[in-house]
Parts: sequence; structure tokens; C-alpha cells
Amino acid sequence: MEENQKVLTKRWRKVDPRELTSYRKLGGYEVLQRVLQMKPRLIIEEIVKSGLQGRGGGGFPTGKKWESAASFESDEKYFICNLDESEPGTYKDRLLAENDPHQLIEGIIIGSYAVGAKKAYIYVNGNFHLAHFLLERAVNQAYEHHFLGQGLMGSDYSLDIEIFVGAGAYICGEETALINSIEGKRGEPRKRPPYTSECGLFNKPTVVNNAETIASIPWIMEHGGTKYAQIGSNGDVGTKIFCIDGIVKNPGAYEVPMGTDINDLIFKYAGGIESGDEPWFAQIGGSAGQLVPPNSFADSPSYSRDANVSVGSGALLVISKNQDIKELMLSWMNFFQRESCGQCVPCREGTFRLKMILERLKNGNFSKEDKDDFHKLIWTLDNTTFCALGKFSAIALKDVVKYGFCKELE
Amino acid sequence: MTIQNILTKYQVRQENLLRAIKEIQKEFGSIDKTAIDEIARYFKMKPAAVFSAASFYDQISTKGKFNMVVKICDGANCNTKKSTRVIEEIERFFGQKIDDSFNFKVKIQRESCFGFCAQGPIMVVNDVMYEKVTPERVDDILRGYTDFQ
Repeated sequence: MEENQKVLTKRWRKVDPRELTSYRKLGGYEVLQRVLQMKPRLIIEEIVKSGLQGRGGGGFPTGKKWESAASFESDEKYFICNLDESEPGTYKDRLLAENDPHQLIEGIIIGSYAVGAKKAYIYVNGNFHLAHFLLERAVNQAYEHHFLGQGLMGSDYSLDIEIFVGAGAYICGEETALINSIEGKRGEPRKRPPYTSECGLFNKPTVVNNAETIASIPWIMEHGGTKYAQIGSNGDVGTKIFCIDGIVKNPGAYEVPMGTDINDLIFKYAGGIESGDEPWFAQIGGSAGQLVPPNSFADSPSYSRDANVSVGSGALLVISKNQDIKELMLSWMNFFQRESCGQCVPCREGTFRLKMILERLKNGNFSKEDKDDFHKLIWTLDNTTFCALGKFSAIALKDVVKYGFCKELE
Repeated sequence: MTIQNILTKYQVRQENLLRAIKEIQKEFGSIDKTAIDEIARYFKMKPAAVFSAASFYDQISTKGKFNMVVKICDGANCNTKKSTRVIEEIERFFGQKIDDSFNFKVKIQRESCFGFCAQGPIMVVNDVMYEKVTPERVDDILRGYTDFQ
């Protein structure tokens, strides 16, 4: 397998994102014709074979999700493209929509056909104006060229895609909260089970996939699952876009094979550390991500549960030795306090109290009681919240304590 | 354009509720009690259910209309690029603390992430985005707006 295999970004800057014809010239929608003649079961088998894992952060096997939704009998099913990315430091989905929107549409059509959905939604973050504009244009063009609508491409399959724009809520990236949001309710996560593959949007079987996952689908169907499974190393397959930022020379988004270690991400892709600066630690996966000290930079971010470093959303923030850790901790907690949906007490009150404590820590009136409460609150968030947001809010703070980055907390 | 004009553009379906609310917010600047009642009647819902949904989202204001909204990203990435200094400068310019909702002329609001991290710190004034904002540039940018006076 060649070193720089591009799956997601291969058409970036070559294709005109405003024109369907430009996408077709570069081979777009070709595989779709073939896929529509396949049995849905065989498409799902191909995705299972590829080993593709959900790129939103959870890493749930995409094939399994589809299998589950396809197994339920229902007159209506839904397929949702999750483009509500709002994890701080992550903007890969926005770039996918801005650079190659038709790739997403093709992926959505294949996915919907495979699970038997006749209606698909794209849930776009309310801040992504350009992405929204280009997606809407792409959907309209796809209708004009009969890639969408009644009996698309001469087959007996019909699909409609609707774009739904969010209104600024981090939690709506969680699939059940996203579904509630489309249904015109507060974007609060639902209790599971039942899982969305059985009872999702309007209580029908639903698949919610991250945009990056969906963008990988056309390539897999074109080249085969086996070939996709050969990309990557150290037990992880495929490629992934990393958004690298912080004290690196060339911050930006880079598509890399899975299994690439942090050193390579920083030095091979992002051009190395800015001169005159020195990394203190890196944070992987946005504000909900863990901290990695430089002596672990040889580890590669992975979806495996036993891995030292997990991928999360694919954001990599390299933090300077000169960073004021108290300010950064307050920024994390400000974020989680603001975005906590308020449904469960430990998360709503826990993030608020932690924010107050961190404010006192920053202002220099941090007491002994504050320190005890800090550790109790971290435990509570880690173990008792309704959804993963509360748990995530404690990860980075736990690591600050673990690595001794803040003297007062020891 | 009245609220009714906007509502009649939408079919009475659950997934149209947030869309209609967003369009009314865009036209009138906020969702007040009259709007809530009209939306509820149109969608055949209880006003409380409409309010509960509308008040959940950051981009919808149920607390009145502001003349000017300044949003500044304070996510971890912008924070490492000194967004705190920018916030201090904005607070000084308006003589008002961030997230203080008592002044109906200006709202200064912390935002989570706009997804333009490599160009941070990001500041958005009345839907216009400014990239790589430094404390020194704050005065120049804000002086171009007069709606808050």
C-alpha cells in the first residue's frame, strides 16, 4: 500500500465544490451506479469487511450499525449525516463539506440504500454558513441530475435528502440529542436502550453516521473493503483527518493513515514545533480528550479500548511550556458548563461548581476545601452522569492531576 | 413580514419547528411571548413545549433583542492563542463584563468553537467573523460599529 493513500481528501482543490459536473469528471457517482445493482446485504458485508469505525469519536464499527438498522422491519427508516461537529479544535467535517460536498451525498445515498432508508437528513452546525450553502447547492444539483428523488439513476429506489441546520448546541452532536433536535425538542440525550438503530428519529429505525465516516464509503465501495482494511497499522484501519493546532509551524487538517504516531503528526505533517518554543503536552480529541506528555509522543492514537492514546474527534493541540495551565483548565470547564444540557444534576451542577473552583484557583483564593471538592466533583462527573458529556468533562482535569501539571491540585 | 407570514411557509411537521423559530429569530431578533404563542397555535403544541425547545439553543434568544452581539471563542485552541487577553480588551471597550445579560444594547458572549481554529482567536460581531484577533485590534474593529451607543 502506498504511503500517502488518500481516501477522503483526494479531490480537494481539484474538484469545484460548486459543480456536480466537476465531481463527475473526476469519477464521482460512478460507483453509485454499480452499488444500486447490488443487494443491500452485500454492501453491508463490504463495509463490515473494511473494518471502518465511526469517525465521530466513538469508533463504533459502521458495518455493525448498518447491519442492526437493516435487520429491523419498518415501513420508514432514516439515515442521518452528523455534521454538527463542535468539539473545540475539530473542523474536519466542515472541510469535507466545503471541499467535496458531493462525496458526502454519494456516501449518504449508498448508506441509505444499504439500510433501506427512503429519507436522509444532513444535520449541519449552525455556524458553518459556507458548508451549508455548498451542501444545499449540491443536493439541488443531485436532484436535477436524478441522483436523488423518485427512482434515482433509473433504479427502482427513491431517496430524499433534507438539510437541517442546528442552532448552536454542542450536545446535539450526540446522536440521540441530534434526533430530539430534529424532532423540534430540546437537544437532550435519550436513555438507551432502545438504540437508535431500532427506535430513532420519529421512533423509526435510524442510522446516524459522522460525516467523515460517510465520506469514506464511496472509496470503500469502489476499491473494496479488503483494500481499505489494508490501509493503516497497529490494529487500526483506514485513513483519518487530524486537525493539528497549537505551537506547530503549519497548523491545519491532514489526512493520515491510522496508526500514525504523534511525533509523525507533529513533525512530518505539521512541520514541527515553532522555533523557540517547547511542547509541554498535547491534547488529543478536543476539550473532551486526554493529555499526552512528550515522552508518550511515540504512541499512535487508536480506536482500540486498550490503547494508551485514543483518537477521539481527531484534534491534536500541542501546548507550549509557557501556557498558563489554570487559564486552560478554566477554558475547558467554561466550555462544558456552557454546553451541559442541564438534564442530569451531576453534570449541570458539577461542571458549574468546578468552574467556580477553577475561577478561584486562577484568582489565587483557592482553599483546602476547594481542593477536596475538586477531587470529589471529578469522581462524580466521571461515574454518575447520564451521557458521556459529563464523563468527558473530567478527562483532561484528571490528567492534569495525574501528570502533576498544576501544583495546587496535588 | 409578520410572524404569520413566516409560519405559513412551513408545513406543520415536527422537524419544521426549529426551522420556523430560527427564521422568526432572524427577522425579529428574538423570540418573545407573542411569538411563542403564535408558533404554538400554528404547530398545535403547548406554548411551554415551544419555549422549552427555543430556550435550549445558543443561537435563539428568548430574553429580548440586542442591538449588537459580540461573540468571542474561548475554546481550548483559541485560549492557547490568548483569547483571554482579547476578552479583557472587549470588556474594557464596552465597560461591561462578558456573559452579562442585563444590558440590552450589547451582548458579549463566550462561544465554544466556530471550527476555524487554525485562524484563531475568532471574534464574531453581528455575524461578521474576524480572524486572528489580537488585543490591539479589538479597538479598531469595534469602533466600526455604532449600534450600541
